[in-house]
Amino acid sequence: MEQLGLFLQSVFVFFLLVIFIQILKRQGIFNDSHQQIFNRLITELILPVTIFSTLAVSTIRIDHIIAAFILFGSAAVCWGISYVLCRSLHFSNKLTGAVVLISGVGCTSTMAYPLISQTYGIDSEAMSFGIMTGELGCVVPTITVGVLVVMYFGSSDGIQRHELLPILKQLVKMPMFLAFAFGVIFSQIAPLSALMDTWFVDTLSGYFVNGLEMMVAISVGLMLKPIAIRYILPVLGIVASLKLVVHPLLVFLGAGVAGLTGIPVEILVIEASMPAGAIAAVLADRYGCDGHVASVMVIITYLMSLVTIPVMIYLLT
Amino acid sequence: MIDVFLLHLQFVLIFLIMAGLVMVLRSKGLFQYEFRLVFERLVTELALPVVIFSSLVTGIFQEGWIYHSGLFLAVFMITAVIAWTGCRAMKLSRKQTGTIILVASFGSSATLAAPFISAYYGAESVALAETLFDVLVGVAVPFSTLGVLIAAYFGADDEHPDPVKTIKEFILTPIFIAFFFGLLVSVITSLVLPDAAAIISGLFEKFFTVISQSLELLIWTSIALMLRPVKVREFLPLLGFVVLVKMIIQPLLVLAAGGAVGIPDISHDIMVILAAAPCGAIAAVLADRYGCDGRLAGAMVIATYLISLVTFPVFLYLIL
Repeated sequence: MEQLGLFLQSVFVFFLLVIFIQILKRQGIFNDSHQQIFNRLITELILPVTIFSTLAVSTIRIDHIIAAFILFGSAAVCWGISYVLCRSLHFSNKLTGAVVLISGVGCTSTMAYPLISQTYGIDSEAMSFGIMTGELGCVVPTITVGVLVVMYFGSSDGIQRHELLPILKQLVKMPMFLAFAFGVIFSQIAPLSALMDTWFVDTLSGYFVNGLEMMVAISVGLMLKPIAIRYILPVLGIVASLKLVVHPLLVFLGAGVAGLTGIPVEILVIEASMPAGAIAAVLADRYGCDGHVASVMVIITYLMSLVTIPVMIYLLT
Repeated sequence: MIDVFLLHLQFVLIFLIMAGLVMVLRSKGLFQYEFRLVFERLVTELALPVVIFSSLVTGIFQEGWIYHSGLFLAVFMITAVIAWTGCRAMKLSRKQTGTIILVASFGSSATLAAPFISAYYGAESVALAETLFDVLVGVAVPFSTLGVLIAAYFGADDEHPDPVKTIKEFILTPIFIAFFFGLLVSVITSLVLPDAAAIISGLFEKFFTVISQSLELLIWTSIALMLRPVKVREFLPLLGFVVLVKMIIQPLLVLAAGGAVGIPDISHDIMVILAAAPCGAIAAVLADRYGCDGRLAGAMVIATYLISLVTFPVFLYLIL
């Protein structure tokens, strides 16, 4: 449990950055229009480099795929429940897209990896299992299915809704998708994977990977706007219950069904217990969904997770 | 020797690739020239102040290092005066003068030299600790004070800016405020509350780390967005002058002064590496942020990084 101090520190850093950005925004140094610049930097450059550099040097094993399937399967169930609830509450398409995405996507790389690293050691087998599970079970589905979801719900002004083909075409041309595809290809070709596993590539990608956390916090900080509590409460009810409670419970059950025990279960529960993903909020906004609500959800679930994560980890591991 | 050359080559390539990727996005219309202002603001109003504050509060030092840094600071001042004199002689505009003084005096000590020393000597080495101290005293201190003042003075639209107004504006810049409070906290913690520095460092460690690790990306994004075509005929003489001052005279002065006063080998080597680094990318961002000639600054950084592939190994050969 003492490792949760690191998680607390991550939350503290995120909030400090968001507060700084809000101060600079109030001083007129930044304004709402700047948010799109950071969203573009994240989706068109930093995330693709991060995804490619992680996947290209990875070794995908069967246990990674099983764990990733459990993580993604649980997230997909949360997405489905979230969609049904949004529709029954007559949410707009843009709000539905944002709520659906963040109900199943947590901040795996920014919060879960440091926590796993602190708990099991940075060079441990558990850490590499955690990274692969997180990448395959959270990051990859987010940049493929997740982006498809927000593009679909956020595209009312551009692409005709109910026309999936143009959206799919757009998706496969995206730098994030290309990074994923090439990352997997490189990982399967030993000489290319070895080429990516050098000091040069590691240092180059490190500058992008290290910049991700700050850029995401800035983007969320710029997205934040006051929203009426009456408006936000039903959304919060859906997102918090699904992301912070249902998702880890489903993962725990899924792991039980798959016969997983010990450290893999602990890692899966940690990854599923994370608050709503800040990157998911950025993606929602980038592709036309309600980024303001998504960013408020990120902030609130971060705070709530300070209670729910220790409880979930205590109960389920 | 080849290893050291390759290490430098790789660092230069890394930074050029970072800038190149942003330029690709710019050519596709995803980024525009105007966006540079956002990244420059982020550098000067948030990232750099935090890095300066944290360096002052959490930095470790040994008594002897102050002497070395002082020498480095003196060389920096001499270089700045040479750059200013050259600009006057060439009758450059105010904005060009501001840019040339900044990029000819401040090198890429934090962006290139420090990572280079870290990779060469080791991330936990005494050499790196001394480097960071030298960067702090010999570069960050004049940068936070004189650097900002130079940029604000020469970057002002007014042909004859009111010095009092410029100083007032300078004092209110986040970089100077961070420097002032960082120094204040540093003095208080070292004289009155010796444990406080460790507490602050522990409490904000991750925050400082996240920001400092993002600085490089922000800077190269700014540089890439700053770049615009320059007239070769006008640019080449200025480039020649900057290369002479920053990449030849400055390291030669450090080499000579260090040898003359008998600085220990490793400290001497570090100072020469710092001095031989190409034009400062952060200095270029500062120049553009405060109204100096950003186009010239961006081009100067890229050109001197390429030229450093020749000049930097020469100085490394002399010292290593």
